[in-house]
Amino acid sequence: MILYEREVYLSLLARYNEALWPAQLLALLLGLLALGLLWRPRRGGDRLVAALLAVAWIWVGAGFFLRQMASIDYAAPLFGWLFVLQGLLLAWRGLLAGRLGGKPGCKLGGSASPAATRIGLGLAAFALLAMPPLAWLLGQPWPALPVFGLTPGATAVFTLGLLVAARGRARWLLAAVPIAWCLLGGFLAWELALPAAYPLPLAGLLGLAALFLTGRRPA
Amino acid sequence: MTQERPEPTRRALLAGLAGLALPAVPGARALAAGPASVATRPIPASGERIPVIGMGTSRTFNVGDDPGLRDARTEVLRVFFEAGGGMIDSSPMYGSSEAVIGYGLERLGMQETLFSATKVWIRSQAEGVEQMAESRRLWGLPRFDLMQIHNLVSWERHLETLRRDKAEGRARYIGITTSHGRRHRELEEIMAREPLDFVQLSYNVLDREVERRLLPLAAERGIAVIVNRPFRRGALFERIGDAPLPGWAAEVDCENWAQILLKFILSHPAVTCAIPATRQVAHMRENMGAQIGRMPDESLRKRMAAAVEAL
Ligand SMILES: NC(=O)c1ccc[n+]([C@@H]2O[C@H](COP(=O)([O-])OP(=O)(O)OC[C@H]3O[C@@H](n4cnc5c(N)ncnc54)[C@H](OP(=O)(O)O)[C@@H]3O)[C@@H](O)[C@H]2O)c1
Repeated sequence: MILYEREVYLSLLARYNEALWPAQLLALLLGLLALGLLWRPRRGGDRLVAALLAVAWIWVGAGFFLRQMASIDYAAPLFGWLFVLQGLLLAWRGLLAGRLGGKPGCKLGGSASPAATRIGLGLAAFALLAMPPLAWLLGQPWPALPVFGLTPGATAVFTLGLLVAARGRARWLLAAVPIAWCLLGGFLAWELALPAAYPLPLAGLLGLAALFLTGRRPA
Repeated sequence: MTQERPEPTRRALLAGLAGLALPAVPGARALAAGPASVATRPIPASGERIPVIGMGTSRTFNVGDDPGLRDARTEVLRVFFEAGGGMIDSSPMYGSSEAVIGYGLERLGMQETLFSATKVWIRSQAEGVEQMAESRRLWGLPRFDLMQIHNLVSWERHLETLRRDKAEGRARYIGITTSHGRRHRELEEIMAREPLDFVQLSYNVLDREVERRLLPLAAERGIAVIVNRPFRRGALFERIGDAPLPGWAAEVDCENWAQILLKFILSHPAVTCAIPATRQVAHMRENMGAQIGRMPDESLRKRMAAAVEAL
């Protein structure tokens, strides 16, 4: 049960984005860099992407949930720590796995199949480039918009996209929280009547299906 | 029809006295006349009377730091007090609601009729003590009129603290809450055994389960009853839509459906007050209108329930 109204959430989101401006541009550039590395892998690129995702999740956990949402939502601290935990998981698996070599880490940017790369890229590009204008078109006033790296939904879908296009069993571990958030975020959006976030559960289920299908091929 | 005994509140008496010296300004007269006709009910534990319509704040007052929204809620609060409103109910569970009430009270000045009610909502007893101190700070009050245990959370431990707080003057009355029909059996046992001043539960024209055991028990044990979710969180208005007011509405001085729904609740003899929540001044005015005029008798109550069930 949500104990705040749509207008209150949008006002909080607007003031949060205002206070962080122009971090949104930096997040967009870094997101594009991650997509570029997924498209054309470079040495060390997967570690860079993992570091970027880890920072994004920890920021959303601490800056969005613990600092902002906690003032209106008693469940926000729980979500906040979950996002921080996901950031730490990404840092541990994505960053350290490369260094440890050979271990079942998660190789970001080296997909198991071309179809998975396309689905993953599609999800990540949707989160990075389509979610903010879609929200605006569907009535969320500027600057109360979802942004990869700053708000939870766009961050979850972007991360899921990269994981779908990645290799290694650790993808499942790393995809659990993003998929869970896609489902929960969709429910919250429904309760708050925010149609721009209705695609979240679809993105989560599409990501889950893609992970499942590509997971059966040898990595 | 039964006629509710209109009881002048402390503030109404003051306003009435002031009215003797007031110039003939319509607003001032309305203010003086309005609260004077407000229906009140006694708290069985003390005989002190409180207005039958209070105000809930979950969701509606949880507006965070937004200055525009805070001012808009202060306006709702102003209209509530102008109409002789008494009880404001909140909880630390409701995010920024307590801070927003404090913001409004600071701007409006402390109100004579305010009956402050909040809750303790945390597992640990020690943290409960801190939480209640924080609530006093947020509201800007030295003590609460009523401190309740939210949804029976750690009730045995908190009841110990609440008894001490009552004895030492940090709360005038103590109580316990539940909602949507949850844990009624346990609540019944607590009501039967423990000395409580208030109990808060959900009751409305469609959710009438409490009529069977809890309301009669409250009457028998002399426990005041606060009714939450009087509109089923707004769902009753969705059900009613734009259905026309039934002809009998005028027999009990109801000008809109909100007043019908509230008078159904208030006409149960065990009920002390109802606490509808709203963000809107116009809705607040409608709701406060329910404390004025005639109340339905048993046969009309049945027709009221049947009318809403049939929609
Ligand atoms: N366990 C507990 O202790 C517990 C549990 C539940 C509730 N409570 C307390 O009880 C209070 C009341 O319950 P509630 O807030 O759940 O629900 P409620 O009072 O039954 O319904 C509130 C809804 O009704 C609408 N409304 C109010 N007056 C109206 C009118 N005249 N015409 C049309 N719509 C109207 C409001 O919308 P607008 O804002 O648009 O007017 C709001 O959406 C709570 O705020 C809380 O303080 C306590």
